[in-house]
Amino acid sequence: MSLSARGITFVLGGTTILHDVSLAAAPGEVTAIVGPNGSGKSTLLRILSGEERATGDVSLNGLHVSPGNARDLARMRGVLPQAANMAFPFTVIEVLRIGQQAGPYAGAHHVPEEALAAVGLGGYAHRFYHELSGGEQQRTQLARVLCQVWEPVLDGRPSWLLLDEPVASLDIGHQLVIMELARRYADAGGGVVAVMHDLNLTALYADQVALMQEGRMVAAGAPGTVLTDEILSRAYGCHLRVNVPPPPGLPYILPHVARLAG
Amino acid sequence: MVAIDAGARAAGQVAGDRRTLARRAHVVLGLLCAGSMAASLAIGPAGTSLWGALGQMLRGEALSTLDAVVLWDIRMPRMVLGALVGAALAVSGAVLQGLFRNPLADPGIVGVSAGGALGATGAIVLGASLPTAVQAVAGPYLVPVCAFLGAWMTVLILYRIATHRGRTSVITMLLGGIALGALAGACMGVLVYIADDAQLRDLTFWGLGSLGGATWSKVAISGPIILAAVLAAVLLGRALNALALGEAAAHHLGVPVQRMKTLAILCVAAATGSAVAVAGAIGFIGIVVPHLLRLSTGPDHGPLLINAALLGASLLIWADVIARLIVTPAELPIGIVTAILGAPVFLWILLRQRGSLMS
Repeated sequence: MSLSARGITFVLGGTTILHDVSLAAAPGEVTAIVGPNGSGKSTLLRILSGEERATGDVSLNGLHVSPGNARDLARMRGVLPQAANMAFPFTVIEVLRIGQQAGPYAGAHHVPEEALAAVGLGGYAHRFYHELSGGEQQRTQLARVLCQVWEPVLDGRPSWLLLDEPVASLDIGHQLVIMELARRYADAGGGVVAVMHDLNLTALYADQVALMQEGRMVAAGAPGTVLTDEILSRAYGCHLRVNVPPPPGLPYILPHVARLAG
Repeated sequence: MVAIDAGARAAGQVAGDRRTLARRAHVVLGLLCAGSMAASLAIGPAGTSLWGALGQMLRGEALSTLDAVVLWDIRMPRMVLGALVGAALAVSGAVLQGLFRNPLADPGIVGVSAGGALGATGAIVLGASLPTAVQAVAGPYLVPVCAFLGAWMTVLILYRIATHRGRTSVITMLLGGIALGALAGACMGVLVYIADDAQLRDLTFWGLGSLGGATWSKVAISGPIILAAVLAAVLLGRALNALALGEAAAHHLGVPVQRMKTLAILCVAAATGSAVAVAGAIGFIGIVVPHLLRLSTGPDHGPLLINAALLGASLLIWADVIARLIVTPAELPIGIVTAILGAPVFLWILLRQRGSLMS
């Protein structure tokens, strides 16, 4: 019962985007995929969700992940895209219903409203999606994904959230709301895999960090072992120092902008 | 919105959820459709009264031959064919818009009807030179089958042109549709040029876009295809909703995207092709009906497709009533009536979309 990718190689238009990448995410944990722009983070997430086909093997709760299994996969994992435009004037509640009907909670009337409250959008049900701000749209989409995989564990099987930069267009307060939500989902037994840009939020919320660089997995493990000066400086091509303040003892990262690594 | 909210709350539902409203619309539009059908049977240049005839039948009296012919062989097939064609065009429009993720897609505007018309013209002009055995087998099905093939090819080509890596460009879709429509029109011109006198007469009657030639045999040929395509389209409702979020999201939501698109394209081609084959090219029903419904009851494709079938049928029946009343004893081609009603609506949608189209 995990999400695992083994030996993933992905070639697009003659360019190898991913070289022999492996990743194992466990339920009950938040797994963060980090790395510089263009390192293949989002591509890896697309392969984990079954959206792209690649060589290698991906399995979710023991089910082979492939485009042909779309319906079964949809009952176990939801995917939050980076940005989503709705083609027609749907209201927020109608967007959530689209997610709800794809999962096993189609008849559960309380789910949409609770999902809205969870992302801090209580009272937004009647608003038109296309009239919301970017951040509100992002949170609506997260609520839509939650409606699809509402229970972190269903029938003894973990559910999964795959999040592509879930806090990208959010202010700092809402970043914390969303990351707390992901944390609670994992604590309740669900699995969370998130592509992250913010290393500090990663250090705060991730149980496992997978660091990618130029299509390769260069480090994976607990935040303390991956988020180190040497590893980060090499991956991001700039000098970074990881600092650990006195208690509560969580790492935080400061960029040293004046000195780019040669 | 205020009225919508009030209606939703009265039903004990979450504000902004328009499902109940859309389902109530099934009843309203169902009644409208039934009323339109009755009106279409009752109205006509012949002095036959539907109510008088009904009364006669209830009293067990036989109808006069004239009344029986007018009602049973002229008005009835015309009404049924009008309802079928209207439903086919409105549902085709709604499915095409869902597929292209844009409310401006209409089988008439993006050349699908023209493709179907080219197929039908080809069948009328070139069908006569087919081997007699083939003609005997194909018989009355040759025109609708060729119209379906023409419409199908057009949607396939248009989709290839306008959609790249899961994204549809509105501009490419509209311009591609214009080019495909023009090409189909030119090919039809060539076919008309080589047609003989009898074929030309067939073409003229058919090409004006009219329900005037409605017969039970046309109903029998196109009816089952249109009904099957409309029913299949209604089953696509949930998948089209997911597709509104984009192809990737639709996949994440469990929709087998490729298979669903193939089915949607087949439905549009079958419905539009059959409609064009029996009634000629009739524009704007496919854009006006779904748009009005989205404005009033929301874009959820589940109820939308059913409502589109009902409203499309009603609208085309009324357009036909207008077409045959307005210049009695002659008849106006029905395509003219739908264009006068529909073109302003199209322009209105264009104006509302102007901001997003410019960027």
